[in-house]
Amino acid sequence: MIPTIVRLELWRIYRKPRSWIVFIAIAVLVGIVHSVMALQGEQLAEMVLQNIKQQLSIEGDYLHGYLVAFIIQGLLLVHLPFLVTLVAGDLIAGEAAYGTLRLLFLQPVARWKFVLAKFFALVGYVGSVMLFLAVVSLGVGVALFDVGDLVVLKTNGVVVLGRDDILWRFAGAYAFNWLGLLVPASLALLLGCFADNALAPVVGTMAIVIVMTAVSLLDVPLIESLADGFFTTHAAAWRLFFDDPVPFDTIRNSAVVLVMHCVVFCFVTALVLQRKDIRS
Amino acid sequence: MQDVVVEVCGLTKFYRNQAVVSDVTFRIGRGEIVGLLGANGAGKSTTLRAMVGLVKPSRGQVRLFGKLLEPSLLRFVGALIERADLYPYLTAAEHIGLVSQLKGLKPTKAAMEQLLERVGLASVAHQHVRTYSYGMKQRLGLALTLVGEPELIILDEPLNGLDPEGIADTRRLITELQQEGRTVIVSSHLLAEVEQVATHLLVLHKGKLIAEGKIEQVLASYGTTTIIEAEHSAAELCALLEPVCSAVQVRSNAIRVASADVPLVVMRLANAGVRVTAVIPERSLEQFYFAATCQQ
Repeated sequence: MIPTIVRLELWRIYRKPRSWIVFIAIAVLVGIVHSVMALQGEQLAEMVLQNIKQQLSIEGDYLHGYLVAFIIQGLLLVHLPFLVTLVAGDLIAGEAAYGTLRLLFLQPVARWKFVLAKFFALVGYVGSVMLFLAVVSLGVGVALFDVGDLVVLKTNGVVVLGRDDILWRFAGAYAFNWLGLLVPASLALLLGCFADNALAPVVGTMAIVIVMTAVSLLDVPLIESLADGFFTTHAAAWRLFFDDPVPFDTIRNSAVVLVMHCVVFCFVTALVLQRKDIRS
Repeated sequence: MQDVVVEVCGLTKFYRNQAVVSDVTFRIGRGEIVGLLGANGAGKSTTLRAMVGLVKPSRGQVRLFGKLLEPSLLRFVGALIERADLYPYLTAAEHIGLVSQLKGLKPTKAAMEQLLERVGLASVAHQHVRTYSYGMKQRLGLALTLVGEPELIILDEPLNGLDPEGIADTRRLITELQQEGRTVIVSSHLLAEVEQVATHLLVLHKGKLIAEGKIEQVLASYGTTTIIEAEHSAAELCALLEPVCSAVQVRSNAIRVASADVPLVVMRLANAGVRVTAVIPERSLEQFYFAATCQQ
């Protein structure tokens, strides 16, 4: 039964005009970045690498599709959770607003199965968003700007990755970002249980994301240990795929923390919905 | 399947420490059309919601088809609670398909068309629901309750927003459903409509069940009224009857008295030489309803 409900949830997600806003927004944002890079990319890259070039000699064409895709992924760090929660927040709160939650709960399906189905549908939807991002930023980027060695600036230095050693890193980073986005999405799903309009869970989730991100930037030991448990801290671990060597242990630990967040949010959502009286 | 389709036992529901439904107990048998009556806030919708698991009882229990209520039993139940809840971006046909699949059925085109034909929406089956009028949405809501040919159909205010033709169609549909052997529970403020279709009544007042049973028995058990017409003015009739009962003028030559007093009234008028031209018993559901709720 659950695969059927997941399929029906996914079908409804893609039938909603709101769900396509995310794809349009990504296409527009990536289009703007590509245009800027095509027009002024050399100057921008020169500006960024100015300090490094005083200590290191960097030769060759470092503005290429890989760099553009890497920059885009960093740029969308805050925007993607927002865009994804627009859809996730609507999955329960939007149904409550339309009254269709009642239509669903009048069917011979346990409520926890609906929660699970909605989460799996989100997994599919966020996956399609990441795939789209990969195609328009990396695919189109490579088509427009060709490929080359990737120069990645780190706080403690520079990592130069050979052009043949990059694609798998992007695959890992996109996959990790997929997992990272599922956490705010499942949080929006949970907050949707307490609201009867889709806006409240979106605002609530983004407020939590912003507060966590801001707090983790405070350079205080107590806060640092606290921030280690924030999902926002672990969601940024996709960048580690561009380290050399890649710290797989750290990535795995962050992935476990993110998965645990998703499990807890979904469990609490099911628990709340199970007890909720549908009165409206 | 049992002959008792619904069994509600001691149902109580509190919202913020206030009981909206209090110790309600009743049984509904197969093939009955039950009219659920009550004023706004009487607890009708809460009772119906508890019967389909939308709200959890604070006390008491609901049994459907002899089993304690659980989601799988909703396979045999179709419910329209208050208004049709629909996805504006889906069509009527897609709604039928969605509900069919959630009920574990494989939707067929023929079954879909038949359902939509039954509620008069076949011609707009592939239009988005956002283009529908309120009445059309209610009709689609009715169609959704019939998906999978459920044994029990619960309709909470199904006539809301329907035009006269829609009301007549719904009345006909309810009667057809009973003829097919299904059990229907209808809650409505339109007492005349309920009176035309219901075989049984449940009356809720301030969260309590105040009357239940076959419609004829329930109506007979309450003191109803009778109109008496005579060849005298109503004022004269009232004056004549004042010592024995209270009469109310309804027309220039007609009065209303309690049905229980009719033999006494007729005898007294005959003794006074008044020629009674008509004795018309009034036994409408509306009268019963007001009498029953006023007594409480």
